Amino acid sequence: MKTVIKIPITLSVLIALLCIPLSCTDGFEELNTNPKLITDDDIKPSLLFTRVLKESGFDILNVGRIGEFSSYIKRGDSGNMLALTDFSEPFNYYTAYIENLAAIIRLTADDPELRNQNAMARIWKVWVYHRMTDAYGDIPYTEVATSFDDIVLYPKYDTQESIYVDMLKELKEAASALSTSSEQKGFGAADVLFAGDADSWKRFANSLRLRLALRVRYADETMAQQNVGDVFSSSLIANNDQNAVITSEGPDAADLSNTNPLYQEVVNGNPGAGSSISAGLALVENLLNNDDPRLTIYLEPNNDLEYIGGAINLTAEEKALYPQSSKWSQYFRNATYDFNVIQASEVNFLKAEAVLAGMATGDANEFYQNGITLAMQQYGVDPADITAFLSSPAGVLSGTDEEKLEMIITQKYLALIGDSYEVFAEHRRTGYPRVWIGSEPAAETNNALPRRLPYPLIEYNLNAQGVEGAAGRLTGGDKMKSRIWWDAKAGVPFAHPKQGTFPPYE
Amino acid sequence: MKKILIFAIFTLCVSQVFSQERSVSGTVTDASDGTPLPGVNVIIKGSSTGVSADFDGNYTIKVPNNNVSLEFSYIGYESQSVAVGSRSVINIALNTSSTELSEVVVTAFGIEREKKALGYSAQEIVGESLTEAREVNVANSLKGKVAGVFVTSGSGGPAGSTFVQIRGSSSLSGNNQPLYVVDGIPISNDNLNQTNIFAGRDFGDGIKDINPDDIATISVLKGPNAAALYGSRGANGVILITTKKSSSKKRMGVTYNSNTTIEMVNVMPKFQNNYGVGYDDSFGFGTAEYEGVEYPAQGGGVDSWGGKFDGRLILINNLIDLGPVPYSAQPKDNLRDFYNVGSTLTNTIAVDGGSEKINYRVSASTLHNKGIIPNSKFARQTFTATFGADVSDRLHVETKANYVKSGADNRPIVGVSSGRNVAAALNLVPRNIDLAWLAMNGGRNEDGSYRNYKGGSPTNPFWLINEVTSEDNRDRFVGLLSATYKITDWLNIMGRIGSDSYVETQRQQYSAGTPGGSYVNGRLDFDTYRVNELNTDVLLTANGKLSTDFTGSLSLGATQYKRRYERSATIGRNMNIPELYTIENADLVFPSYSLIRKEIQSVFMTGQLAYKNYAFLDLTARNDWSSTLGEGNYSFMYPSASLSYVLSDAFNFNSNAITFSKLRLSYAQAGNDADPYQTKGGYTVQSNTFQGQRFARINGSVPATDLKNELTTSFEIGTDLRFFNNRLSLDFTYYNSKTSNQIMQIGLSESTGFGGLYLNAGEVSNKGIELFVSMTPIKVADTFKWVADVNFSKNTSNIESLVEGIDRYNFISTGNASIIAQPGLPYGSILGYEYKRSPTGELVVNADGKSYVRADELSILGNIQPDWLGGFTNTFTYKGLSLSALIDVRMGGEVYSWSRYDQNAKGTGVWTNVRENLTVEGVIDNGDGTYTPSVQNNVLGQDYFAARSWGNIGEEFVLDATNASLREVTLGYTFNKKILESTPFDTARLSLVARNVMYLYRDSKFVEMGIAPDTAFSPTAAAQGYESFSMPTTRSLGFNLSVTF
Repeated sequence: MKTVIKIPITLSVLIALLCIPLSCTDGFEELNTNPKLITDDDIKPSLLFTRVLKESGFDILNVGRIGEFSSYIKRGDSGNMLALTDFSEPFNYYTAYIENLAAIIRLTADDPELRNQNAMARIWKVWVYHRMTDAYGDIPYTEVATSFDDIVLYPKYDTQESIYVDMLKELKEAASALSTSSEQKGFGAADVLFAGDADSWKRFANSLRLRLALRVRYADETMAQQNVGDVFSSSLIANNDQNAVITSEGPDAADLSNTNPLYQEVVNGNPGAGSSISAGLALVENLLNNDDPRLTIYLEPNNDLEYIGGAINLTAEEKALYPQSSKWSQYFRNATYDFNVIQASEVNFLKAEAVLAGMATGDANEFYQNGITLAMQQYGVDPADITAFLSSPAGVLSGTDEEKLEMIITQKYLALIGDSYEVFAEHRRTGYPRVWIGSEPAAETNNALPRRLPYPLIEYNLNAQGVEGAAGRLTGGDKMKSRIWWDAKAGVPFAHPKQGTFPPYE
Repeated sequence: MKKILIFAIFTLCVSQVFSQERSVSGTVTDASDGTPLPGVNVIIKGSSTGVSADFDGNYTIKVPNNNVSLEFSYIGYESQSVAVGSRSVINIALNTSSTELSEVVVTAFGIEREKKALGYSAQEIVGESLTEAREVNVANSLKGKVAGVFVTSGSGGPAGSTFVQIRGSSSLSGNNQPLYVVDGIPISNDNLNQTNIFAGRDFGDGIKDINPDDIATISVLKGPNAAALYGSRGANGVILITTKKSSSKKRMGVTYNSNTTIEMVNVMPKFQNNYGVGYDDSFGFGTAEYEGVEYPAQGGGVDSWGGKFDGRLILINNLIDLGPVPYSAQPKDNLRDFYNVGSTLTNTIAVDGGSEKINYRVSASTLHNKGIIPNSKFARQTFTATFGADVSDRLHVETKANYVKSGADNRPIVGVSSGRNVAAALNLVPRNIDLAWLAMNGGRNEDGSYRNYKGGSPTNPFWLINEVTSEDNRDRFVGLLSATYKITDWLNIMGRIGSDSYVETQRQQYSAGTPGGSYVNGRLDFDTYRVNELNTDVLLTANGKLSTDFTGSLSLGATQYKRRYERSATIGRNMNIPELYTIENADLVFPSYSLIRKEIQSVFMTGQLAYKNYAFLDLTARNDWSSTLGEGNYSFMYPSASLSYVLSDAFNFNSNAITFSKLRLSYAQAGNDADPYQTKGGYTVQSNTFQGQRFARINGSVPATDLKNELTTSFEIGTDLRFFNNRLSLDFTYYNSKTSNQIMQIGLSESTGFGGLYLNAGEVSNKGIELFVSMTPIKVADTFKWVADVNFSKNTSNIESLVEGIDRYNFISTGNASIIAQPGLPYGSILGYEYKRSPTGELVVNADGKSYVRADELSILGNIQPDWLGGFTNTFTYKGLSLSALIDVRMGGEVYSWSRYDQNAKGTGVWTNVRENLTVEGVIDNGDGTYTPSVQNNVLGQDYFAARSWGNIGEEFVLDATNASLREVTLGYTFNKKILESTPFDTARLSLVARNVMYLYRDSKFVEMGIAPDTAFSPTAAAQGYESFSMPTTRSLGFNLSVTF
C-alpha cells in the first residue's frame, strides 16, 4: 500500500519540477543583458564626442603612405610606395567615427537644449566625411550610420558630387543652428577642440565650407562659386588663436597614447618610424628654393650637414646613389603636438585662390601674404625673417594666374605640414606642389602619384554590388590612377621641372 | 586490476523469479592467475535472466531446467557459454579478452549500458592507456586512439589547452569541442583569456585539471545521436569520464603510481648561415668607433638580405659594448642551447575499500612540470574523495569532492607576434648574432636598459623569458552529491547536484623597457576569474519486464544548468618606483569587470525497449530553454531514436567463426544555443581618458533580437562484428549530419557603421565513416599474444549555405591569409593570393622580370580539414612483459604557415642560403592580353625569395599538413605474483614510456624549417589551419611505476 501512495506523490513532485522551466524563463531577459551595456537613455553624448574628436584628430598626422604621397616624408623602411595595396583607412572611419557621430546626432535631435551639440556633431561629421570621399571618390553616404534597428546591410555608394552637395548643405545648416544662447548645453570640456564655444564652431564650419567649395572648383564651378559667395565674408578663422587645433597631452601624460604618435615611437624604442622619418623631397626643395626661414625649424640636416629630401619610387640603382635624407626636426617629435584641423593661414590661402579665380573680390596678394605671415608666426619665425621673406620673390604673388596659384598652393603645402590627407587632395586638385618621382616602373599609377585610393578589398566581399557600381562609374575602374569627380583640372599632374633627370636635388 | 575497476550493474535485465526452477552456483576466476572475478554477469542464454557474481566471484542463479546454457561475461574478458546439464556447481575460469572493448559502456547521465544495446557508436578507453605514457593534459592522450576524434595540442607547451573535435566541425561560431562530463556532471572546459592569432598566453583549458590516475574509463559519445540527452551542450559529442570508485566489499587497498619523464625538443628550427642583415646582398654597414678605432657597424635592421658573411670585424650599434665581432654565422647550437630539457614528475596515491554498505576512494596527486622554455613551469595537485553508501535498502547516496590546485609560471606567449612570442623572436635573430650576447644580464645592458640587436620588434628572447613574465593560479572545486531512491523494484528516482567552481588569477608583468606603447614604462595585467557552473538533475526511472520477451525502461528528467562567469581585470601602467611591480605603484590603472550569466532549463525523457535481449529501441526527447536566445525563442525541442539489432542472437548463428554481429541505426537532433549577450545593442564606456575626459563608443555589433537555436540533425548506421572467438572485431559507422540555423556573427561593410551582425543562417554538413578493427593475429596459450588495433575515420564537411549575399565567413583574418567558410567548400578554407599566371599557366613576373607577382584576385589555397585520420596500435605481451606502440596519421589538409612566410620574408630560412645564380623565369604581362617571356638571371635573393612574402603570395606558404607520428611507445613489465609474495605488494608494474617519439612523415618543407605541422595557437577549429611559430614540440621519455598493496 505504501508504495501505491508514494508513486503519485513522487510523480507530482516530478511534474512540478518539470514545470519549473516554463515559468523560469521570466528572468532570462535580464540574465542575458550585459550589465555594462549602456542604453540610449543613459548614454552621455559628450563621451562619444570626446573619443571621436581625439581619435580622428590624431589621424591628421599621417606618416604612412599618405604621408609619402603628400611628399612630406620619406620613410627609410618603405618599399615601392606606388604599388597596389589595400587601404582600409580611411574607410574604417565609418565604424570608428561616423557611426558614433550619427549616434550623437540621433541622441540630440529632439532636445532643443542640445541643438548646439547636434550641430557640432554634424560639422565634425562633414570634416570626417570629406577626408573619406576625397580619398576614394564615391562612397556610401545616405544609407549609412543608421541605428542598428534600421540598418542597411549593403549601403549604396553615393556619388561624390551628391556627397559634396550634402556636406556643403550640412555645414550651412549646422552653422546657422549654432547659438550662443545660455540655454544651450554645449559639450563643455568634453569638446577638446573648442571647449564648447559656439562661435568657434561656426567659424570652423564656415572655414571648412570654404575649403570644400574650392575643392569642387574644377568640377562644378557654380557649386564652388555659390558657397564661396556665401562664406567669403562670413565669420571665418581669422587668426592663430582661432585655429581649430587638437593638442596632444605633453610628456607628463599618464597615458602615452595621448601624446604625439611620433614621440610614442621614439619612446618605444622603435626608431624605424618616428625618429628616422626623413623629409620628403617637395618639402625640402620648397623650403630651400626660397630661403624659407622655416627650413631649420621644420628640418634637421643629414650627417653631411646638408638638406636633402627623400624621393619615392627610386630604382635600386637610384637608391644606391641617393644620399641620406634630412629628417623632420625635433619640434615634431616632442610629446606635445598640435594636430591642426584648419588654421587661419589656410583660410587666407583659400581666400587668395577664390579671388584669383574670380569668385570673390579682394586683394589676392594680401591674403597670400597674410597666410604666409600667420603660418610662419605659428612656428615662431622671427618677425624680421617674415618681413624679409615677404619682400623676396616668393613672398609676393606674381606671374600668370596659374603661376600665382602654384605659389598659393605651395605655401599652403608648407603651412599644412603633417596634414597629409589634405595636401594629397590639394595636390591632385591643383597639380601643386610638383613632385619628382624616381624611375622604378609603377604601372598602377601611370608612373605618377596616385589619383585616389582603391576601395578596400573586403568591400568586394561585404558589399559587392555597392562597390562594383562605384568602380564601374570610375573611368578606368577601381584603380589608383582613376580620377574622382572633383579631380577635373586639365593637364594635371604637372611634371616636376627635373622629372626625368637624376639626381633631382641638385 | 580490471575487476576492481569496473563493477557492472545491469538494472535492465534483472528478472523476476520463475517457478519450477533450481539453483546453480559456482565461482568465477581469472584463468591466468586464478583470482576470483567479482561482478561477472551470469545470464541464462537467450533470455534476459541473469545475476552478477559477488565480490569473491561467487554466484548463484536459478535455472528453469537442465537444457539451458549459462553465459558468463565480464568486461575485458572473453565471454563463455556453458551448458548446465544436471550440474549444480559450475566453476569457470575466464580468459582476458583480446580486445579492449568493454561490454558495458557509460552513456548519457552516467547510465551504464550494455554495449550491445547501443544503437549508436560509442568507443571507450580504459584508464591504463592514459596513465603510462601520459600527457599533462589528458585530452592529448585521445590522439590516435578513437576513430573520428581529431586532437591537436596547443602550441603553448604541455600545460596548455588541447583542441578536440569529434566528427568534424559543425558550428561556424560555436566552439565545436565536445562536452566533458565527469561522473555524470558536465565540467567547464573554458579557455580563459583565450589567445588569438596575434598574441596571448594559453592559460590552459578545463580538462587539464583532471588527474589521469583518477580515470577509470573515458567513453566517447560521438555526435548528437549519442549525446541527445546532454542537449545543447552535447551537440558536438560528449566525452564521458568515469573516475575510479572502489567496489563495495573490498578490503582496503592502496595504489601508488609514479611517473617520471623528461621532455626534449624534437623539432628544431633550421636557418641559413651565409648572409647577414641588410638588402641587395650588400653590406649596409654604417661606421662606429670602438676604443678610438673606426669599424663598420651594423644598424637596427632585421631582414637578412645583406652581404655574405666574410668574417670581417664589425660593431653592432645596439650592442656596442661587445666591441668588434666577426661578421660570420654563429654556431649551430645557438638555438638548441636556448631550450632546456623539461621534466614532468607525477605521483599519485589512492586508498580505496568498502564494506557491505559503503565504498570509498581517496586519492592525492602531485604533478611538477618544468618546461623547455627557461623559467616556465607548471604544477598541479589534485585531491579526490568519493564515497558511496546504501543508507537503507532503498536509498543509495554518492558524493564526490575533487579539489584541484594548479598553476604555472611564465607560460609562453603564442601567435605571430615576434614582439612577444619567444619562438618567433628566436626565428628572426640575424645569423651573425650570438644568442649569448643577448643573454647577458638576462637581456639587459650594463646600465640596466633593454638590450637587443635592434630597437623595437622582434624582442630579445631573453628579455621575453625574464622580463615579460606571467604567473597563474587556479583553485578548483568540483563537488557532486547524488541520491537514488528505489520507490519500488521497478521505479527509482535520482536527484543530483553537481558544482564546478574555480577561481583563477593571472598576473602578467612587462618590465619597464619592454618595447611597445603601453609597456615601455612597465605594465602589470592582473586578472581574476571566478567561474561557477551548477547542474541540478532529477531523474525518475522505471524499468522492468513488460512481458516474457519485452524489457523496458523509461526515464523522465529535468535539469537546470546555471553558469556564472566573472572577470575582474586591472591593468597598471607606468610604474612610479622603478622595478616595483604592484598595482598600487602604477600611475595609470585601468580596471574592468565583466559578468556573464547563462541558464538552461531542460526537461527530457528517454525510453528503452528491449526484445529478447537482441533488439533494442531507444527513444529520447528533450526540450531546452536557454537564456542566451532571443525573447520568445528561448525554447527548443529535439528528439532521437536508435535501434540496435543483434543479428547473431536474433538468428542464432553464433559460432566460433562469427562470434557476434550487430546492426545499429540512429537518428537524432540536437539543438545548440548561443553565447550570451548577442541580443541587445548599446554603448560601452571605456576607461581611457583624454585631457581628463572620458570616452564611450557605440557597440560595434548589430544584435540579433530574435536569435534562435542552431539545430543539428544526424543519421547514423553502423555495425559491430566479431569473428573467430573475438580474435577479430570490426566496428563500422557511417554518419551524416547537418547543422542548420547557424548562429554567427557575419562581417559587415564598414559603411554600415557596424563591424558585424549576429544572425541565424547557413548550414554545415558533415558526413563520414569510422572504422575500428581489433585483431589478435597471434595468441599462444598464456604466453605470447599480439593484438593490433586500427582505427580510421574520414570526415567530409561542407558549407552548404551561408547568408544570402555573403559568400564568405571569416574565422581568422590576417593580412596574409584568412581561414574562412565558403558555400560549397569544406569547413575552413584557406583564402589568399596565388601566383599570378598567364592564361596559359606561366608564372607572371613583374616589369623588370626580377620577381614573381601575386594574382589580382583572392583564391582558395587549401583546406584545413584532414582527408582522413588513422591510428594503429600494436601490443605484444609475453607473460608479464608487454610492448605497445601507437602510430597516428593525419592525411591531407593544409595549413597556412606563418613560420614559412616570415623565414622567407626575413631571409632566415635555410632554403634561402643559396643566393647566387638565381633565375626568375616567367612572362611579363604587357597589359593588353599579351605576355612576353622573360628570363632574368642573377637576381637577388630578396627578389627571388622575399618578394614572394612581401608580395603576399600566399600560395607559397600553404603547406601540406599530412603527418604520421610514432606517438606512444610503452614497454611494461607486470611482476609475477610469486615474486611479489615476499614483498608487501599485491601487484606491481613498471613501464618505460615515450610520447611523441618522432615524426615518421611530415611535409619536406616542415622538415626543412624544423617546425611541427600539428600544433595550434588556440583550441578553435580554424586555428588548426594557421601555423604560427609554435614552441618546438617535445619528445618525452620516462618510466611509470604502479604498485598496489
